Amino acid sequence: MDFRFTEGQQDLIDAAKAFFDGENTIERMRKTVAGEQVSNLWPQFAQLGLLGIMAPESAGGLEQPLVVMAGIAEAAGYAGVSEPYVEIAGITVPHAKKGELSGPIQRAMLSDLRPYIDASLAESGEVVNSIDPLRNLVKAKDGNDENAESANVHGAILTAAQLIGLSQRMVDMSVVYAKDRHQFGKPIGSFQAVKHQLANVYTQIEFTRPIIHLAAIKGGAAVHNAKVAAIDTAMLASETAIQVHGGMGYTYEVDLHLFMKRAWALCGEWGDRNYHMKRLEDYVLNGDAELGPGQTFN
Amino acid sequence: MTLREEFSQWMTENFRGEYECLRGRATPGDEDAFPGKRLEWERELGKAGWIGVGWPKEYGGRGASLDDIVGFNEEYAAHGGPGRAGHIGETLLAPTIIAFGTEDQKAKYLPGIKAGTEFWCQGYSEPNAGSDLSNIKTKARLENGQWIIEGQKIWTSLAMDSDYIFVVARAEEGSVGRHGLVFLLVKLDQAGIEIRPIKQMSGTAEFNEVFFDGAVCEQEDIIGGVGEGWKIAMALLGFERGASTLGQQMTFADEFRQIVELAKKNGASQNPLIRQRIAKAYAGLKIMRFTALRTLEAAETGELTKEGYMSKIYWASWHRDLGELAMDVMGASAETLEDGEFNKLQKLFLFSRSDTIYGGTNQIQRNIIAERALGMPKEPRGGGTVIKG
Repeated sequence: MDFRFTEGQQDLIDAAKAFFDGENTIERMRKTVAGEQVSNLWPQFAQLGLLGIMAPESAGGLEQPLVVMAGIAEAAGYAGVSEPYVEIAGITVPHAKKGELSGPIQRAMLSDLRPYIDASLAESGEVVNSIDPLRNLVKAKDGNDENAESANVHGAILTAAQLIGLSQRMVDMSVVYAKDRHQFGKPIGSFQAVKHQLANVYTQIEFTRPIIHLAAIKGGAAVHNAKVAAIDTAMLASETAIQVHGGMGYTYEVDLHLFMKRAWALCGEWGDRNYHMKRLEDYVLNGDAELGPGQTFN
Repeated sequence: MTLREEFSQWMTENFRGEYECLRGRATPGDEDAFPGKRLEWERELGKAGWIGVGWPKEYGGRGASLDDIVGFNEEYAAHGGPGRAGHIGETLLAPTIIAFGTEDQKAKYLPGIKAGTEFWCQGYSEPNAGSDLSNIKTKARLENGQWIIEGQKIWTSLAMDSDYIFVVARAEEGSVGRHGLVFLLVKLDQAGIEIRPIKQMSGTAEFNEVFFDGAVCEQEDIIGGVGEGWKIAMALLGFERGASTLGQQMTFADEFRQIVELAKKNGASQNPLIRQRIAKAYAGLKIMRFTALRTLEAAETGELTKEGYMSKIYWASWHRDLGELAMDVMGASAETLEDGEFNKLQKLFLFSRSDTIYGGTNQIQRNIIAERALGMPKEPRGGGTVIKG
């Protein structure tokens, strides 16, 4: 099995990342939270081909596999993009009917695994406030779309990818802070009590990414594995990042909370930890999994 | 036929009969099992050309691609092949000699490694050079065309079964840290060397102390120049790119399978907490596998990946946890010795206590990850000696 992105795919992911990081600045996030007018990114998503990443070529899309979308979702997570871009491009579009793809799609897939959806994707619904101040949610209608099972897989994988992007952002912010902040006459980042915690998070991130990509390529139990691993990574990242930032990390003024809150919000979307853990347990212990050394030739 | 298929067939035909006793044995924690048989088995592998499959053809290897080397290691483990007595020579020293050695050294040392008749061990750690590895005190001085070696190495795996040791020693009087070191190739069977096994808490003795009291090697038996010992020592560690990690994971997979079987048999698998830990262990095994595959793919294209820094701490911590899971699945009987000795899972638990220590403790690994991968400020170093490099 080959996980490597082709040069073209990597270029696509890099371009998306540059766009997200360049446009969705901290300043823009702060303005959004304050309810001020901010730039509309949707025309640019469309123009750059980002909406049609997974759409068939016949509909003008790039027809890329889910694993490429996972790479882009990680970048969106890192930048803290609050528009439901990943939802549209990675979940709704690939499950849309042929006719729908000719116009802009503004709806969310219905699934019992995701009880709240972005308000911009629903015609109506009871408003729900999120712990993430950048998300405007409404209660989703009960029930499942006919493609809900596949949407659940896309949702879990792309949420996991966003979570490790967010985790990496929190690590990067913490590294910058730990180099700058001095105590006992030294940068706190030189102390093992601080640097070892960040090393742990970074290790988790690097080891979680391949299983997310595997899940995107092969599906199956790897999907549950990926979501659980990403949740654990994101929880460890946020717990560590706030500790490294000390009291400042608890303030509204320091930007860390914007990313922590997004991570906490996404942990429960498209199947929370208990949901995926239970399925993983059943897979391993109820006879589906082939165990032992002869069984890993895939 | 792919190399994997060819090797699988060879294992089916040859790993049987008198070698049956080695099945699944001599893995870490059990490396002192059947020493004589293991060395014979190495000669079988050598005779059939299965040592050095990844070496370039001009040195007698098969020039196999990384994919093939992975396939080779996986088949070996899947067939239950025993821990490899020759892996230090084959996967660490040989690539170092090929990259940095002289033509004479290649001609002198590679054939014995390839034939499975000459075994090597690694002389790096010392009583006061553990985590602070560059604090080496063993000395080497040149006299009448020979290096004379005085000092002590410790934690030397498999020294009791080896013919040679590569030794990092201090050659420049008054030098400190990474400077002034030399990388020597030394025959073990000589008057100036004494090997003492270290009995471990598992009851086995895989590690040794090696004492040098006027031991000698020839002037030309060094890799690199005087002062380049550290560079060569670190380059050697860099040759371990993880192909054998995938073989190691097959051993882990087998241990995991045994734990699950026991849990199903004794009812522990009904316990929700045990179920969750088993599922976590399974998840970790898959995560390690696909991370290693990705690292290898990157290595093939020459990209440098940061996973290299992280694989040791990940597998060591995973395996430590697996040992604890094994004990909890055994429950109260984990305390008792059936047949008066440790069973396989008890051995796993005991040996996995050392995983997070040998080859660089978890704490040293975290320093490396934080400083090299994350670029965090270096730890304030004590002792008043600042070593640059």
